[in-house]
Amino acid sequence: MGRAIKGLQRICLKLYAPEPGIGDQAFVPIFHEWIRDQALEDLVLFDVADYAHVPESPGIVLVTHEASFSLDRSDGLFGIMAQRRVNGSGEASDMIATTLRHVLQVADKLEGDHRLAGKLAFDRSRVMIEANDRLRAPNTDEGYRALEPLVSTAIRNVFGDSTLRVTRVTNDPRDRLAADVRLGVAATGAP
Amino acid sequence: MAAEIDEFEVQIKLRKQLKIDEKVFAELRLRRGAYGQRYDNGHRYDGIRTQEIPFPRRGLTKGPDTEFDAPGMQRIKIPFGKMSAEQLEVLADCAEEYSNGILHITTRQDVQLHFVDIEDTPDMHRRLGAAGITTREACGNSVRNVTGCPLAGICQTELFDISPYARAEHLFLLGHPDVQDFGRKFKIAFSGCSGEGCGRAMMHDLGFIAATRVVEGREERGFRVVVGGGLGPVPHVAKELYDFMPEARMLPVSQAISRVYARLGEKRNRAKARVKFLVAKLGIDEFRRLVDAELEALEPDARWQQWVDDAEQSHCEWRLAPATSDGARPDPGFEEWTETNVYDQRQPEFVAVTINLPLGDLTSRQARSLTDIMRRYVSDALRTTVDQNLLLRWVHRQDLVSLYNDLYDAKLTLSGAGTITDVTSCPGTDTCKLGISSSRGLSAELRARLEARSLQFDATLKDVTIKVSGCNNSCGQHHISDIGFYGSSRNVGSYKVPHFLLLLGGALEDNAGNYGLAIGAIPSKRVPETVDRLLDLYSAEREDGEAFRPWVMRVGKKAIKGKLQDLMAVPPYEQDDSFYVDWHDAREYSIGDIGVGECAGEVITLTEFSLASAESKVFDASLIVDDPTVTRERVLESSALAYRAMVLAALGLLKTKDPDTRSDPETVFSDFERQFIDTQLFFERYIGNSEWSYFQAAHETGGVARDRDEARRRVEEAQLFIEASHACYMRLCQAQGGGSPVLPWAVANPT
Ligand code: SF4
Repeated sequence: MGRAIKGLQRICLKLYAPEPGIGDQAFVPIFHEWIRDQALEDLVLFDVADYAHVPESPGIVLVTHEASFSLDRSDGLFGIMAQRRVNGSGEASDMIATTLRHVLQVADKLEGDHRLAGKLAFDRSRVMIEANDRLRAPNTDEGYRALEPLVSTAIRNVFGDSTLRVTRVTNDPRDRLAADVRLGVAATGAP
Repeated sequence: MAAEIDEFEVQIKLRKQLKIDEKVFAELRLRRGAYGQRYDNGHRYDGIRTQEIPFPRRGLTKGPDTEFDAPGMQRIKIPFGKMSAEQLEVLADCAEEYSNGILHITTRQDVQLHFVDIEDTPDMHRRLGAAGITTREACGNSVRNVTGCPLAGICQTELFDISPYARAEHLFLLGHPDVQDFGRKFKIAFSGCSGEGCGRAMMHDLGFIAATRVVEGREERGFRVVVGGGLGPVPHVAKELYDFMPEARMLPVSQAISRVYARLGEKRNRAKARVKFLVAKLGIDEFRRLVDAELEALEPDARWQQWVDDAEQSHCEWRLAPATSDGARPDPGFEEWTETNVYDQRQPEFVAVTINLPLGDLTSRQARSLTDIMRRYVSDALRTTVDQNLLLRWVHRQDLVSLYNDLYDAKLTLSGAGTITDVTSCPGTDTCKLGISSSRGLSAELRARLEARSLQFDATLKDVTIKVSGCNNSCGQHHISDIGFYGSSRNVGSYKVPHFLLLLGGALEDNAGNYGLAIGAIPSKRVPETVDRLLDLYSAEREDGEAFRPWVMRVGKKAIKGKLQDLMAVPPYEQDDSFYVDWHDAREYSIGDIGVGECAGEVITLTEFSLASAESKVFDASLIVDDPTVTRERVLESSALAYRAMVLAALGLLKTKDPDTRSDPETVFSDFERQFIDTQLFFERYIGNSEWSYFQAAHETGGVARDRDEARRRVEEAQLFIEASHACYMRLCQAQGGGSPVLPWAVANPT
């Protein structure tokens, strides 16, 4: 593991879905209910934040002690973005895997909600992962070389030994170091 | 600065080991701008009951009743709103990594980040510090962000650029030993002229309004100095301390005022500790005498003159050449945007552009795009504004179309800046611990509806201003808008219903020196309809070119209230339960587990009846104090009326104990003291203390006031006493139903 990425715990992880075609406010009662029932495993749920008035923003956010889950459109595409909020105990790859499990749990639950029935379908063959910590994981070639194996390990931990392709997201160097993961795709080949 | 942040990091560790008292730690973090946030007492109402939040380190606190694991709010000072591209970039990074990717601009030109973990703050402070940004004394009992007109230096009406003076004031007082022992916060504002509202000097603890005079044929710069202004529950318009003070005296005068305030200001009762209460108590002449005496005694400080010398040097803020050679084709909306968001600078070849931010929010990504735009067009010429927007200054006219296109790509070309659609809002129940109603939810709703109607609005309608606060602490500055709202709640049957108190007739002009007065409480869900009705009435009844405030004054608040009366009613729960849920929320509004009907006996009816007559008395009193044409005697009568309103409210509460209780003021006062004060029933955390002191003061004088100011204050205080009585009544109902406290009251964090 490269020095550049030592101690990385802060992860953002996004699962995409086609625009659901319903207003963001539809998610508000759902998240409030989840909080009331503490409905997500391993997470302490306690707030809902509303940024739906800001374009390409986190939209509606479910806040838990461990991570926030937002209806993210920051890259112009709709999806559920998990942002790890506090440090955990494991290594960076454990943290990526944990966050991925959390976001899959949220996606499953949203898809299963009768109020959203048929309107949401997350693409589980694509995951975007950001290192949300410029001090520990700079957006550099070296940073990416260190991040890439951590991402691959984490994804395999969650999805098993599937084929996957991890590519670096080309972005503004001031933005965060990010990787795009396609599952069911050979490392170098086309889908 | 680095050593201080290291020390703060150690203090966090010590608090985790319980080696620093929680109260001490709370003040330490507040002084570094790290505030509490809603639900940090570890409880949350879920619409049915109040639940404990199972934070992992439950019981470890970062202040009284403040869970260590609960996220907080970080306030970041931006003196007079001036920000460089590099600073904005760092703020964007911090928002992304430590918050939720949103930067929030406040009505005092600060930036706030929410949902921040206290353990992340030292790293964040270091990163901000490296870019020259401080969070020091952003909160706590100290000098808060020094604000100033965002147009300073480019404005058509200013006498001179106040920016370097505001900067000098900020640097001189930051951490100064004479500002460390205040009983409350101290807010300072600079204004470049007296007539406009951008500087808002009259609503500040200390205001400097640019002034000049000619001495021996030479123009001398200075300031009109005003002191003791402030909004909050009891608003005060500042009083003139000096009509002209030469610029060289600015810093010593600030120091002398600070010393008087530190020495004589109230320390125990927070509700009476702002400098406005000291000025009111001493009178402005005595206050001035004390400041003059301090000035005489001050040890001269070389910095007093250094800063002024520095201020007189010119600071080049603009790019010498335009960035583009000719105008590109504009994206859609350019014309409309130009009309509302572009300001002609005093310097004819330049314009200033307002970036209208919905509810003061922008994303980190937008902020980063904006830094590119700044570097391309205006270098570092950006200011945050008191209207929660951003202002790009020194834009070459030639670049305007191209700049617009770049802003358009960044989704930053919302038009309507400074118009009716540009609704100001404090954080309210979204994140603030003191929020009563959802100011942001309401404001988002109002914005959307007004934008949809905006094509129907002519210029005078577009000029109407709307400001919303989540409670009477006035962080949304509701007193100084044409139409203002602040959050409150009311009992309807056995349910609680979110409401907003409507104020009309405030004004930004004259440095925000005219405050609106309350009309009445409107159910939250009827506020948009109320705004529509007000605009329709105004459209139909205004005379040629008549602005909103003069229309309110001419028609009269009583007549306007009469036309809104039907909107003040709440349908029964069974008929329409949407009234019992706040905007952009899904939980039933704080009704907890009160049993339906348990609270609806005859005694309750009598209480509500008494509270309603108290409200109508105070409304009548407000009509009198607000009428500039009435005689002094009539104004003084309004104070007596306000006192009678307090007696009625107290009587209402007494009726919950004994429907036949006596109603003469003396008996009401003593019974109330015995049954509600001695028993603490009237108090709920931070509610009740000051309101009780208002009733005491009014009772001591039998409601007699010395002058118009005191009468006006008594009317405001009576309104607050009635609000507190409503709150107390709700708690009694709740107790009858066996419920637990619903509202998570906690330490105040008004901006
Ligand atoms: S304390 Fe200030 S921010 Fe909080 S709800 Fe009241 S007015 Fe708004």
